[in-house]
Order: sequence, then C-alpha cells, then structure tokens
Amino acid sequence: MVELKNVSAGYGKNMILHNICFAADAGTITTIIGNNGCGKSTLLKTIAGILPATSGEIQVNGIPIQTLTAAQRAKQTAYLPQGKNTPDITAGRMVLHGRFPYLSYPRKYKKEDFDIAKSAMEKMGIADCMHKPMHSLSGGTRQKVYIAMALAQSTPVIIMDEPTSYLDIGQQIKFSQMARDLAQCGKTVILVLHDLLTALKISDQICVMENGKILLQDTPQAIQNSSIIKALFGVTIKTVQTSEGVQYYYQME
Amino acid sequence: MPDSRRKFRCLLWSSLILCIIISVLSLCLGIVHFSLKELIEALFQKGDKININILKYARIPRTAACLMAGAALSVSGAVLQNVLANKLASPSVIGVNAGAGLGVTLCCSLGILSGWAVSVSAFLGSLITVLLISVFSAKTGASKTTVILGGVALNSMLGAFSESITVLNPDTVALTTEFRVGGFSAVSAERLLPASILIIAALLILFTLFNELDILSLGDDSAQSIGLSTKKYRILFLILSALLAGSAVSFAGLLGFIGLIVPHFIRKIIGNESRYLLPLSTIVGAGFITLCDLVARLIFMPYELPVGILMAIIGGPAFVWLLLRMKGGHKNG
Repeated sequence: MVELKNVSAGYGKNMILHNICFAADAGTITTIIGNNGCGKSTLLKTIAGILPATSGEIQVNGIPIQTLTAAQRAKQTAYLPQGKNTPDITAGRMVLHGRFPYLSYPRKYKKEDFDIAKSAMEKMGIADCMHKPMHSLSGGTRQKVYIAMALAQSTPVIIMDEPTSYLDIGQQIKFSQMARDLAQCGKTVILVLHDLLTALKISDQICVMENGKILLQDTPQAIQNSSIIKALFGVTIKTVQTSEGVQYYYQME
Repeated sequence: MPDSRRKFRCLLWSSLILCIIISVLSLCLGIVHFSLKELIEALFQKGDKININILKYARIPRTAACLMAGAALSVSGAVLQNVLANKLASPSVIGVNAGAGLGVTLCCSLGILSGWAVSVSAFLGSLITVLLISVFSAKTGASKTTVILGGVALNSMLGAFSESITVLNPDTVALTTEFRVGGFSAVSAERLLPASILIIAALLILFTLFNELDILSLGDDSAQSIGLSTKKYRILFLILSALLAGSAVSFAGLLGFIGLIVPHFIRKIIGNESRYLLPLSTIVGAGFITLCDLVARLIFMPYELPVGILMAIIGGPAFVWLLLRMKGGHKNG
C-alpha cells in the first residue's frame, strides 16, 4: 500500500506538486492520467523516493520512505522511468541488475538472483535475448527488458511511467494482463498511461491530475461518468457491452 | 558458460601471459642485455654484482613503474568514460593529468621531489580538475561535446599554470621534457612506492564496484530506482579515477592517450561490461605501456626516446580513428 499525505515536491524552486493526497491499495492497479506537463511523472518519482518531497509524508506499507536508505527503498518500490538510457551491456545483465538492492558483499549476484532474473525475462517473453547487447534490440524489446528488470526487483510496489510506449498492440494487451496478474499477486501497481481506454479497462482506481494537483481519484466507472475527461481532454468515452465484457471507445465532439 | 565469459577468460589469460613476457623482456633488454639465466640469478642476488645493481636500481623500478602507470591510466580512462557518459573522456584529454602535473610542479617548486607529498599533491591536482569538470557538466547540463571542450580548455589552462611556475621558478625540476610528454627513465623507488600503494588500493576498491559502475550508466532515474545512490557513487568513482591518474602522473609524467586507447580497444573486443572492461584494461594497459617503453629505449639505443613521444605517435592516429568511427554513425557515440 502507498499513501501520500499533503505531499509537495519539485525541482529546486520550481514546485510541481502541491499538497497531494493519494492512496493506492495492495492488490490493485492505480493509473494516473492527465495532460502533458501536469506532474504525473514527478508524482511517480516522488512516490518512488527518487525526488524528495519538500513537505508531507509518503508511506509505503506503513513505512515512511524518507527514513529508508536507497537500497531499502528499492526493496519496497520498483520504478520504471519514462526516459531511459540504453547502456552497452547485455539484456540479461540489465535484468540481473534489478537484483542490485539485494546485493551484499562480496558484491556478486547469487544463483537465486540469476534464477529470478531469468524468470522475469521469461515472463516478458525475452529469454532468448539474454546474451544480446541492449543496443542491438528494438525499442519495444528494450522496454520489455526494463519491465523485466522492475519485475526482478521483487518489490511489493511497482511504479511504471508509460510502460506501454514502444510496445506494439499485441504486447500492450499482454502488458495489461501482466499488470493484472501482478495486482492479483498482491502487489500495488501504479501506472502513468496516456491511453485512456487502457487505463479505464485495466485499473481499479484512476487518479486525474492537473497543474500538479489531484482533481479526482475514483473508480474507472465513476471517472467515466464524470465530466472530468471531457473537460481535460476534450473527448467523451463511451462503453459497449461485448462478449468479452465492457469495451471503451472515444467519441469526439 | 556464456560466450562472453569464455571470451573474457581467454583474453584475460592470453593478455596476462603476454604482459608477463613483455615484463621479462623489459627486465632483460636495455643497454646491457641479460639472458634469462642471468636475470634469474640477479633476481636471487647471485652472479655479477653489476647485473644485480642494474636490475635493482634501474630495471625493476622502471618495469614496475610502466606496469603501474599503464594499469592506472587505462582504468582511470575507462572509469571516467562511464561516469561522464562520454567515450572521449580520458585523463589526458580532459585535463586530469594536467591537474596532477600542476600538483607535482607546485610540490617540486617547494623543493619536495619524492615521497608521499608528490603523490598526494598530484592526486589533489587531478581530483580538483575532475570535480570541476563534473560540476561543470552537471550544473550546465552540458552536452558530451561541451564537456570534452571544457576539459580541453581546462587542460590548456592548467598546463599554462605549470609552465608559468617553471618560468618564474627555474629551480623547479618537474617540468623536464620527459615529464611533459611522459617517461620512465628517471623513475625512482622513492617516488614509485607511495604512488603504487595508492594505485593498488584504488584498483582493489574499483574491482568490487563493477555493478555500481554499470548501473551508473543506466541514467540517474533508473540507477536510483534500483537503489544506487548516484551522487555518492559518481563522486567516489571520480575520486578513484583521479587517484589513479594523479598517482601515475606523479612518477610517469603527463602520459597521453593511454587512458583513451586501451579502454576503447577493450570495449571493441569484449563490450562495455565493467567486470570485463576493468580487469582487461588493467592488464592490457600495463602490458602496452611496458612494451612502448621497451621499444622507446631500444629503438635509438644508446639514446632513449621518452615513452610519451612514442605513445603520442601511436595515440594520435588512434584518436583520429576513434573520431572517424564515431562520425561514421556509431549509435552510442
């Protein structure tokens, strides 16, 4: 579980988040939506403890993250950033570094770490890329390597910023299923997605942001029924009942 | 066993054997040549007294200095390239060597010619330079090219300070031609010993930090998300690379290009993973500089060419090759 109480944060004097109150339960998917530049990525960084909050309190499973060391924090929250470097190392080594918070002296990964990394790669369908250099992989496969690295971290909280970018539609659907599986395993999954339809479909809770503030945090149904989507994005989202359940679609006006 | 690890082991052993052969040649060859038998006898303090003295006071310190300087400058270059995320970074290009040179010059101008003070002042000179460059790149958000250009400017400035000290204080003996271009003909055990202790300590620490060095190259957000304190480790790596370069400069002078050529050569063969890059850079750097020194002292015998001149002759074209290769569209250049 993740809880933020009156959290403000920013970069130097440029405050981005203002008095944010936010909660995400274990075993659920919470998706943050909002226009470009509204503070979604900053909020994720703050929850992950990468950007220190200037005021307020952030608790992960009841522990204030400000009191944790970098390694202790990384055992609680895995964070997949939006912009990522492509280091010149193999995909297997990259995923293995997801086990870095658990590394102790003599600073060598153990068999257990290798097994967990391999299992994360298999889960993402990239086990055959184990020995391939990162720069030789496509953008979509690199993204999967980064997701596998976050999975290998084995944390109760997983935070991902635009995880479906670079993924083709088939992989996006597979990702949605994987996010659902993670939540069913009891993990707290927090995402930033630009695709509102996916957000409404896979989330248990949606958080709508504007100008560094949370406008509304509620179930997908409630968000869809409110006028907030139209006010923010200028579109209306409609539903249609299919044999596979409720499907969402945009209606431009 | 993965292919890369097999390749690494094969390279490690072959480069180690080559390095040992070069070191033995460096001990045997010179104005006075020793046979292998004479060398072994002299090492065990037997045989001709002159041979024992040549070995003790000239060949061993010189070979050890070559090995130490080669290993230190190569690893320093490899670490700087990773930490500054810039393939063109090396101690001689961005002014780290020049900073160490200024430290040594200042020390010599005060009349201190050997011992810990020289090594420590060289280290402080290189440390201040490397910190200036990292602050410059972090504060200005400078591009990779700007960091290099800033380093080149700093290099010239520090070199000019050293020259000024020598002009104003003619008793300063540090800035001999050999110190300016780098060389080992005047190396002494008194100057080598403290620097060697610092180099070995820095290498041992670095060899426990392969994962941290790789993770730093993931970028700050990704690195922090898996629990690496990026600021702390970036400073630690800069200190260690300055320690290596500064210590090497304190006895070998301003050797250029080795920190650029060797890590790139290794990267090309085995890739960028630090667990392969750093050990191979250590051995190949040590062997390469020892070989260059051997050639430099044999080529115009009985005259010696400072090894730095030979390195620059090799390093210049290698640097141009690197630039051309990057211009040719190498992705991560």
